[in-house]
Amino acid sequence: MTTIGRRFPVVTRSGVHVLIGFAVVAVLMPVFFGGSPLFTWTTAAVWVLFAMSTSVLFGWTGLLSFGQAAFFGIGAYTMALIHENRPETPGLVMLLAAALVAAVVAAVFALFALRTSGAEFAILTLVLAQVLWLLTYRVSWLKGEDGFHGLFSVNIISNPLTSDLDLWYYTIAVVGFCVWLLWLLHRSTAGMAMRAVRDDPWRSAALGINVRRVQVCAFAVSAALSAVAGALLAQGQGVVSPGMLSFAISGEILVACLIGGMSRFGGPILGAIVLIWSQTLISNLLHDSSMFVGLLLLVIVIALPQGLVSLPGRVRNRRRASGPPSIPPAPTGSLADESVPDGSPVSAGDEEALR
Amino acid sequence: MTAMVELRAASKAYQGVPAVQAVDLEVQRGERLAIIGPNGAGKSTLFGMIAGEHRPTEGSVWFNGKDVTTHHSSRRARAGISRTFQVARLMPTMTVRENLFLAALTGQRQGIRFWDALSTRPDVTEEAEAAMVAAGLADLSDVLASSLAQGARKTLEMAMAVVQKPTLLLLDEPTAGMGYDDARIATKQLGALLEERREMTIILTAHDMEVIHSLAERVVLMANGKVVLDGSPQYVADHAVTKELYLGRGAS
Ligand SMILES: Nc1ncnc2c1ncn2[C@@H]1O[C@H](COP(=O)(O)OP(=O)(O)O)[C@@H](O)[C@H]1O
Ligand SMILES: [Mg+2]
Repeated sequence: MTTIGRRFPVVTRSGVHVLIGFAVVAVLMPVFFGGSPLFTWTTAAVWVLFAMSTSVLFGWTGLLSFGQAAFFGIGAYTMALIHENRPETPGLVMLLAAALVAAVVAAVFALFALRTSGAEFAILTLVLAQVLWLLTYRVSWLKGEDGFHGLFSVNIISNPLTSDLDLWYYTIAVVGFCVWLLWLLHRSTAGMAMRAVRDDPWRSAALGINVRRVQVCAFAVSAALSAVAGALLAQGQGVVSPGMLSFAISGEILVACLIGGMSRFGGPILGAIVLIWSQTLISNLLHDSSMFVGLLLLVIVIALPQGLVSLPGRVRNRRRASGPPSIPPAPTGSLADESVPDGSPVSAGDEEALR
Repeated sequence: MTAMVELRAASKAYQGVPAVQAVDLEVQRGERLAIIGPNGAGKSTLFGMIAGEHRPTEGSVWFNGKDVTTHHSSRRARAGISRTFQVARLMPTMTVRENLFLAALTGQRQGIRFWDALSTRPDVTEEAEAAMVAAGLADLSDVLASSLAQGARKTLEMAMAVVQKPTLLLLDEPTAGMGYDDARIATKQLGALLEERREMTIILTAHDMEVIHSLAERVVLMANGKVVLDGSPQYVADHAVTKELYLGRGAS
């Protein structure tokens, strides 16, 4: 095998299967769906990327962010501003710029915000998103409530995107590539360190993992890909408005992660697709789909706390009918609660020890 | 030659309540030191100060001739200190094998990279597999750490600490929570490890006098956060103060 092959071991058998499956979906989708449903699938693909990037933080590293929309919005606004000043910029360059801006903002923010812990960190992410949201109203060149319109005709590299079909291919290719990058991260040694930090940051530090660095990197990666998702959505829908930075978006993406489940790599993918499609289908019938989405979440959290990805395993266990199904501990971002016989607290360490 | 570990008048108080008081301690390279003392004597807290989880409220901690008082635990771990906890702390959502991979990985410089898949590090995985077999955990390789029994947890945590190839190994009550038989086996394994890794400096805490006699070359007795005795196992075991502390409480 080549050095590249060894470093990026993607040419495995299952890797080839996934690649073929992906290609089939990408090519066949337009055959079965056209017009509005295809556009919904395109939107769903963007949300898949957004959900996956959120899961890097929430599911893999155990950091809860209530303000993930901040980076979604940063991506969208970066794209809009570039489009306004240089509309001929290739779409992929815009995505790259969006990712870079978001990663830098996230890294700087995380360096400060991670000095707090748990709940405070989650609140700070919320504050960040709200501040950015306010800025769009206060800063004249961000155009307030109106936002940006007519961002279509984005060049991929040189040809403009002119149809829903083009947009689908473009979106699915970008999302597929980003998800592949995340898969590499997931199985990398850094991915393992992230899981360790999620499981037990104190123990991770005692093993020699630089917890803060892992968290900052996870935050930057998560932000960068959320920004790509935001910019993609902006390119597809042609509109960027403050709504993209709203708390509703931050909440929805967490819901997508929870619906799909984060114990498996593919959970958030499933969650995003289910969320977008149920929203779309329901809003064809009712004016407001949020009630339904709330109900859906409630049902899943109660019936399947591990999310939809755990369904096949559950069914298999039920079939075997040998006692109650074994449920692996939920990597929901909470720290493991170990009981300690001798009464000393689990995180027996000083606050400053993690710095 | 400078001592490997040195505590200089190190004290630690929890919310103003002293747990360790002005302890001076030097540990030489290659030494096998046992710290004994009744519950609450401050042994675990002392470990915390050496490993970096606890910052001394007063005094300083030196490692290899360097003042590491302000270094956090992950930095000290990278400098060569590995430890186990009195109540084993493992990564609950990882299997036995993954826990050992993680330890082997973090035991290396540059072990963690974005662009390295685990499968590209056969050196690490082989080391971890070997450690798993050596610890007798091969049958449990795919069991989640959270569903291990107490004894297996301790065994795994010790294997993790060893596979990190530390220069200083801290074992906090390595046989605590084990049944009598398991404890005997663990003590034996530990003895073999100590023989094999002569270059490794080891500090352990224990209650069991038998453990101490078979493993330690030097014993420190702590009580109420202070070092009371410091000498050979025989000297400490036979000392009147030890007898009073232990027999007086009816403990082993
Ligand atoms: N995290 C903690 N918070 C508050 N008090 C603690 C903590 N850890 C230990 N202590 C107290 O410090 C003293 C020393 O405890 P410890 O170091 O665990 O002793 P040992 O390991 O010898 O049993 C005890 O009185 C204990 O109650
Ligand atoms: Mg103790």
